[in-house]
Amino acid sequence: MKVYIERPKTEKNLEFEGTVKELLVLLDINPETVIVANNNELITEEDVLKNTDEIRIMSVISGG
Amino acid sequence: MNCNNCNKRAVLLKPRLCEEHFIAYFEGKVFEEINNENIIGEITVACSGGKDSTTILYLLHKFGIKVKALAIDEGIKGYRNESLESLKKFCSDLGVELEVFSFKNDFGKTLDEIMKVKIHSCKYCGVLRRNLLNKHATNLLATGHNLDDESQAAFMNLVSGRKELFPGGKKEIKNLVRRIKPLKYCTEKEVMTYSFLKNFPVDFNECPNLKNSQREKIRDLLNSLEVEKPGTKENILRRFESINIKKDGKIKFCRICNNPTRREVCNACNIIEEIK
Repeated sequence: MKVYIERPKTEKNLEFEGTVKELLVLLDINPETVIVANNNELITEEDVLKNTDEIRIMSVISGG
Repeated sequence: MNCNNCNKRAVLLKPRLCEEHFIAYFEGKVFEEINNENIIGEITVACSGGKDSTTILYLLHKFGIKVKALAIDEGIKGYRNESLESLKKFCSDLGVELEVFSFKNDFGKTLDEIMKVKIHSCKYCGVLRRNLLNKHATNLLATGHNLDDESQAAFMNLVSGRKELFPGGKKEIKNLVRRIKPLKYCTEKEVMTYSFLKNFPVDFNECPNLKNSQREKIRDLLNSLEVEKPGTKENILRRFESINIKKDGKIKFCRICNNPTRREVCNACNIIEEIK
């Protein structure tokens, strides 16, 4: 699975199958602070991910 | 995983709604907040190029309210230039007038230059930004503060032990442009979701001066509490607002600029003197 994190800009290749919530726990990201897209479609913490998915994790926090 | 209102896939869990129903819910919530305000004439929108102010500019324009965008260039190298460029394009596409004012022109120094002698940049930046917005806004000023911003501010006031608080925004104060915050009951996650679905050209950069600020620590704490107990942020803000109404302290006027303050000389005039 390819995971792109917007802030800080990071790209990861992971062996992962499970829910978005589990992925965020693995990456130590609070779900309140991000929205997640799979192939540019928004998904929720309950959605199940496949190892072939391309996931984008975007921070919701304002720039300051 | 489906929407509470139909069989389509949900795009958000709190509330559990699909794209179409989320957009209707979000726009309805903002419209209701605007409807609670006594709006006559043009609204100046304080814009940064970020998701919050872009969203409020778009929605006020969509609701048929005459708007003007006002941006402040603090002079933070590698940060503000990019967000201002995307804001210029957004305003041009929307057909909305944009005015940009800068710390350099009004105060003689950029924030980067101020930072060379002053460490607490957020404090200086916030005071000077508010001073410029008040100076250049006409009639009514809308800001993009969301529920996360407002609950953090309430918590910071609590932590600092302030007894006197400025009265709520509906009260008219001489020399202070009235402000409205139509997103104040929308979470940052809701605003970001709306902004993504609307494909707004939002800048993801974070201010380089924000690191290790007290606000950042409180933000992390409230986000953790919100996961454990959903509704925490809204509870904090609503409780704070109810206290705020009862405890509006006396307003004085700065002897230099005549803007409202709690002291003889306002914070902005003190800072302007310090950075000369």
